[in-house]
Amino acid sequence: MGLLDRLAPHLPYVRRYARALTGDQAAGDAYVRASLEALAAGEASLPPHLTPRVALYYVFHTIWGGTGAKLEPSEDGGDGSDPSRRLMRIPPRSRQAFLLTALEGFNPSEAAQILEASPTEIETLISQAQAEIDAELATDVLIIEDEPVIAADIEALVKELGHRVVDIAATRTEAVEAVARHRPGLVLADIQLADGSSGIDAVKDILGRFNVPVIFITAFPERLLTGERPEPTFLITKPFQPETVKAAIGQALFFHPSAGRAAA
Amino acid sequence: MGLMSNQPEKTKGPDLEEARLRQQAIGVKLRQMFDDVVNEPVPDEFLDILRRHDERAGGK
Repeated sequence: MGLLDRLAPHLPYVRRYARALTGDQAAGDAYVRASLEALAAGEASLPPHLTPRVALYYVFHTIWGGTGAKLEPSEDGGDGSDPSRRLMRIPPRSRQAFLLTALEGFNPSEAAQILEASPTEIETLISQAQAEIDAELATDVLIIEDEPVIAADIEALVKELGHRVVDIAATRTEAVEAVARHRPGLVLADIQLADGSSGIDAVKDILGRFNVPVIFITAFPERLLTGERPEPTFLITKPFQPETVKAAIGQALFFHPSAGRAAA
Repeated sequence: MGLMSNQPEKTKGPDLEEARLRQQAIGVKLRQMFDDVVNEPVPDEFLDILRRHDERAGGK
């Protein structure tokens, strides 16, 4: 079987990876082209013990890792979108491990083959990528929640992620007062509040003033689904798993324009 | 080739399983963001490089 038959099905995905890794489609394509030319010229070959897809990413890695990873601008590379900028802040080798597993769906041992790394190093790189993402996304959080025990649980997990809880509001009025004092970079909101007021109304008030990612955490998700749902919002149902809330926070912040430190 | 492969192992940071979960949540959205790249045709130039190689190899 020729190179074309073996590699063509995987080219759309390696182009995606190259785009995400370099922050730019033209730059990414240049490395894909160089990889294919090296293969065609016999300067590189697909390791026979690897599947074609893993082998293609491996060859791409040897080409990009040899030049691109060392040449890239240190700050603010990429296509200018906020998620791209955040990706580029992750150091190259950690970014590769992160993208190979989270974006391309390789398992850790495949990522290790592609990056010529040990499984232990892959774990280290994944952890480093996460530490970098956490630092990049760290922001000030407003919690709108009238039950003190739940508010304390949410506060604890938010702090574990490296964020700062600037206020805990128990009513719509308190929430609006809180954002007037300090503009948060993320809002976590219950829906049914102490004085009968609504977290949805509180969030609408807030979003009327400025754009901020919002995650609703509620035992009554149907109220959000049936009513007029403010955007942009995420929804988590109580009782919640802490990991679910953490994953939603990371997702909401990573893709929100100008979230993170520069929340104001 | 492993540049930076001798990183210290101590700075593990967040719990690994949790990190994977959180990274998958970002990965799902990244895939949506890059959907257009996957769905657009691969540049002919790329396929030609491979096709020319295969013709040379087959013509031996």
